[in-house]
Amino acid sequence: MTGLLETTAERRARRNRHPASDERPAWMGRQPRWATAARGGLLTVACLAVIVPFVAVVMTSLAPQRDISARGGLVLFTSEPSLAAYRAVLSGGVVTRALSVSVAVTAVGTVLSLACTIMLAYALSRPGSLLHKPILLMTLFTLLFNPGMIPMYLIVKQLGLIDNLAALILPVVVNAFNVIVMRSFFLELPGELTESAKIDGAGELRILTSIVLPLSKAVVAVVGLFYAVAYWNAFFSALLYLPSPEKWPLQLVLRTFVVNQTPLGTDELSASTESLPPQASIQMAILVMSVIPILIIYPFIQKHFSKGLLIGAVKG
Amino acid sequence: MDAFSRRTLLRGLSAAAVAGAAGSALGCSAKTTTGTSGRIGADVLPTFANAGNAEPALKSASPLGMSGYFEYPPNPVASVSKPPLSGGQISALTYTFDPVAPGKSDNPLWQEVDKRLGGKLDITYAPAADYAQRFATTVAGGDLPDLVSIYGSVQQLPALLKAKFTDLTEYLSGDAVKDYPNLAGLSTDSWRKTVYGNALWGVPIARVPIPSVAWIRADLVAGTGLPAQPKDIGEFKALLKGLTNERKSRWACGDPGSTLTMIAASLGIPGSWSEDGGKFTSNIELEEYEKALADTRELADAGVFHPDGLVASNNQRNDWFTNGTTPIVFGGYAGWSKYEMWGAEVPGFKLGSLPMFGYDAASKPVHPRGSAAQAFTAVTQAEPDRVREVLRVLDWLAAPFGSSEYLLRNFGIEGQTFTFEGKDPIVNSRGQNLRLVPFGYVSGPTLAIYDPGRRDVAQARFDYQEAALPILAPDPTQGLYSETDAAKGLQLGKDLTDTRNGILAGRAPVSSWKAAVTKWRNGGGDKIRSEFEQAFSEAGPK
Repeated sequence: MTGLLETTAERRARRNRHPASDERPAWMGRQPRWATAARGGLLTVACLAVIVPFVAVVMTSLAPQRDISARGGLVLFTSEPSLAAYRAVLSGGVVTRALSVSVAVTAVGTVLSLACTIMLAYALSRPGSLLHKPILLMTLFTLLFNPGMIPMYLIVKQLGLIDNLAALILPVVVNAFNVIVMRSFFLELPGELTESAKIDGAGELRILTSIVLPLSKAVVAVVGLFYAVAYWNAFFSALLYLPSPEKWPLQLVLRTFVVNQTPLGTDELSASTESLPPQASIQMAILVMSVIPILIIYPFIQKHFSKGLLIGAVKG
Repeated sequence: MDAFSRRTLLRGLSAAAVAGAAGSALGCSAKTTTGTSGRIGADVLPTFANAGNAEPALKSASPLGMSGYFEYPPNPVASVSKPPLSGGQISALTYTFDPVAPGKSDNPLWQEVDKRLGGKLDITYAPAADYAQRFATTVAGGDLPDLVSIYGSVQQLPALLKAKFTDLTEYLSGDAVKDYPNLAGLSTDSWRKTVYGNALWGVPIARVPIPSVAWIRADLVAGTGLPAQPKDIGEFKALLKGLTNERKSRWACGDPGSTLTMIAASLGIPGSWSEDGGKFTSNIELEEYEKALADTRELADAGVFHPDGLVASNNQRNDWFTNGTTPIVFGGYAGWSKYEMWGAEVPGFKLGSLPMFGYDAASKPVHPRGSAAQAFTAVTQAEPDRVREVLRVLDWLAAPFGSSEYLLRNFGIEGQTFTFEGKDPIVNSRGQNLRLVPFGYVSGPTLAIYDPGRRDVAQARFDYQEAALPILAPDPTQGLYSETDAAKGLQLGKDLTDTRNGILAGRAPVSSWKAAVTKWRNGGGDKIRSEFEQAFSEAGPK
């Protein structure tokens, strides 16, 4: 109903024309109380559905064995919270070291991946760039077929990357899906912009950095988040390529707490279980710890998130 | 408890001679009740000789068994007089069930082990759950360390061993093992897991082959008038039904699969294969198995199992047990002290165990058999002198309970990582981390029963072991290899479990079992059988 060119003053004037609720159109009218209550109730339930599991995770990570046994699993409230599970996981320096490895790999990896992906996607979005078609096909091909564990290992080995942190980054530095998302976004940008830049004498690099990238913040944020999450969560490549446990990233170290501590080891009663806090607490503490970094980053790029993904993906 | 059911049924099938994850082959023949088939590898196995001289408080009557100690033997001395290395380096790849240990540069315990070894022992490792991938890529990559753990099911294992590893027969067979006295102390059955093609291919990680125990909350049974130690199937059923009270959300047990295994064992039928005159029969083909299945179904229909029993995780089942929801649980024998620890928080908690009972007066029950070796450590091909050096290191690592090497490996350095309280070494929080280096999965001694400060627990564990070992189900597949089993055994077993669960959940009649067995036979079961039979006929003493 409001025109695109409506000014603030006009809007204010329009609002003032309807001071009383009776004159509002139906959808702006005051709701009957039951409807407000129902809506409130519904929203509360929806919020609880999200919040309660999270509270349960945090509480269980703080709970003693007695509470966990009594509840038969997750705990919603504990009267004697203790940080024993966190202490157990963080003691000995292994986890803190692994944390710094993970942060470094995620930071360096994300920057490298973004740089490569942006350049590749940009080149592939320019009609007539050199070997455009074959390179695009090769990129798409990796979406359908991947080399498998042992060939990958052999290549990493031949490149001399075994036991080198670069092995966590280089083999996965470009992800075809992300290239497609980004390329589709670049294709959507009006060609007139780049054309005018060209007329003004800008080279491709200049166009990319001064015109295309500033318009593509949303997609860069999304793809960056994809890469960051992937680097943060990766444990399998570390398992294969890094023989030294000192170089293991956080997720692999935490994994040894989770998968190895099957407490009732029909297989084995591990050396450490005697002294560790309850298994459930440890698992939940680990969950909390691995979620925290994402929680910290997410709010800053969240606004770009849905927008960027939709724009890129739907029109691929 | 997966130990009993899934492992018995499934792994039992896939057990073969693959040095499997613990609790693999659950043994076997109703007809022969001798420990194992004595003929496999009989002319290559090392001669057993007790290692160590610490006098146990509880001495096991079986060479398979663990001895019990109420306190750490005083004045531990070194079991190996001379450092096994002279400045060299040994590398190893193994698995672990523990969290990651601090690296060698931050780990004085590891540095001290190096010092006493007289060289460097470098260990790389992967979580046990991921070991197969790590192993596969390392083998594919070609640079094998000196020592490699063979853990879990490995396809084409005999060929792989021949191509890459050392045949240790001349070094360890018969009396030759006396050069390595600590290795001579490993049980003969555990060595069987390292025999392929009548040759020894590694040093076993020996375990007591008791996979699991049926635990019962003695405090919840007391005063109910129910038979806490059932003598036959009638009493067993009465106990389970009597403990169930659905209105109060209590069920007797959360594990139908394990209950089936227990009933099958009460009938004396094996966990996997039985052998008679060179002919192999799988337990699932026996009529008694179907009978056990029908009995378990009857119990399921009576509602004695927790509604989520078939799909629950072990963690859940243990919580149900501790909080009294299910007063019976099947859990690992190794976890005994764990249950006591959880129970300490519950008022009145008293842990008991259900001994094996005979189905009726005529039946001879067996106790399910686990694997006598969790894995084995193979030695990469090398010059004989190097092989001897490597074996000396394995011998050092296998120094038994009571020796100073054992004290160092498991507890660390006095004052730094542990202190003596009375006669017992108590590890401090630093030591808890430092001692996580997986030395024990490269090589280790026969385990000991030792629960500092809990004499009653040690005694109970020992008593259970002594009752179970003489009636362990025999396993004729030990030391035999079937390629089909290594490749398809797991999948075949899974199909059978699905059918079994369908029957126990009431979705299918007991009579549907026969069709599943036929499918299993056609899908590979018969091939596994013939491969075992052939291996069996070839494996005998020449």
